[in-house]
Amino acid sequence: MAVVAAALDSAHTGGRELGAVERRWVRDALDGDAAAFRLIVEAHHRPLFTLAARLLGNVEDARDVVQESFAKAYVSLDRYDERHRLTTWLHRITLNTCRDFLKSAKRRERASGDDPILERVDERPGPEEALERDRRAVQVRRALDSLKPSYREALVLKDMQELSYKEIRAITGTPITALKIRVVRARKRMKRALEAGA
Amino acid sequence: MTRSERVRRLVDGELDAVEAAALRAEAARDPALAAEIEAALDVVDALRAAPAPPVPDDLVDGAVLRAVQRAHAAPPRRRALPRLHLHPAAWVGLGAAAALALALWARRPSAPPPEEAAPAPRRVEFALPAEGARTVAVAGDFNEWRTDATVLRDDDGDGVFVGAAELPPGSHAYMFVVDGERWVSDPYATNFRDDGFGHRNAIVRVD
Repeated sequence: MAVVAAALDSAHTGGRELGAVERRWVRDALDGDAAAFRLIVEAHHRPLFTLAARLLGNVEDARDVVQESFAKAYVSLDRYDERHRLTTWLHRITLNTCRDFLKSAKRRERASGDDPILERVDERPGPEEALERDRRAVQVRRALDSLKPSYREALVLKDMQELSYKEIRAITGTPITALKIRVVRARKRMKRALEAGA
Repeated sequence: MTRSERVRRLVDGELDAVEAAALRAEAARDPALAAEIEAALDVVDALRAAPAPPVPDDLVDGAVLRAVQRAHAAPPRRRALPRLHLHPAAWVGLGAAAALALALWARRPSAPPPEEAAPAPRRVEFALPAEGARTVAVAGDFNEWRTDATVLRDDDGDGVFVGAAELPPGSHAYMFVVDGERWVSDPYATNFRDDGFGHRNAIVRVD
């Protein structure tokens, strides 16, 4: 597979260069304005938390990782390149922090003591429907956990976070060609894992 | 193009209406293809249906607190410019110097008009799944069909070899070379050209 990568530059800016408002937040935060940094956190924390929770399978770990990711972003804000989208940069930091966490002893300790995550939503349907949805959510979680990390990442970014290949390329640095092949393989493994757990 | 890649394009919405209808018509006659499409759609549906976990209420406060604490513990990252405390007469002198510099700058010889730049080469990324292969390279008209010029790598060991080359605008023919001797057509390419020796060269177009 061959893909002309020059178009990938648009994944960084996507015609949606860092807006004037965000640029001001970044510069104010660089000058030590914590309130400006808070605005950045408020604007970006939801997709980053969802990403972390889906990769790690645990909301407590995800909260810890996302808070750590924002702390890393704050102290390295002077290295942020305004030509790229802020969300891409924050996603990259969060993904790397998730990867580090998954390798850490902390993860192993927690995994040994906890049950698998049950992802829950605030507004719940009727009891039977909710039960079925919980059962399905656990099945999906277990199937995802059974995949190797690169496949889990590919499915979470592409099919759960619903990012485009260009966006995933910008976040992970993996060539689009390889990402597409990985997604095909990951979906096949996921199908087998879902059937095995059904 | 491989069947799996066509299925992926369908599932990811990359086929136009005619291509999608053609693939579905083919699937109606080919149970294996139909099953592959259904399996991929099942997985995507299951993943998209998984509910997003609620965001903890204290996430934002905790993130900001941790960031501020981290910044206090770290060395300063940017120093503010020192303020100048000058006598009013010194400010007049500085202003005159600035005006002189501006006048000299305005009288500088004008730069020659820039020459029209040649179209820039573009980075093209290549990938081939080749589990068990020792080496994979791309040979094409852009590297004189050398088998050692553009080598792909499989750094994460998943059997997918990736690499890139800078290609000038135009159409370029290429093939993969596995283990230095086996020539393989790109299974994911959409455009091909017969090379007259029994191989199909894939074509990539750089605009």
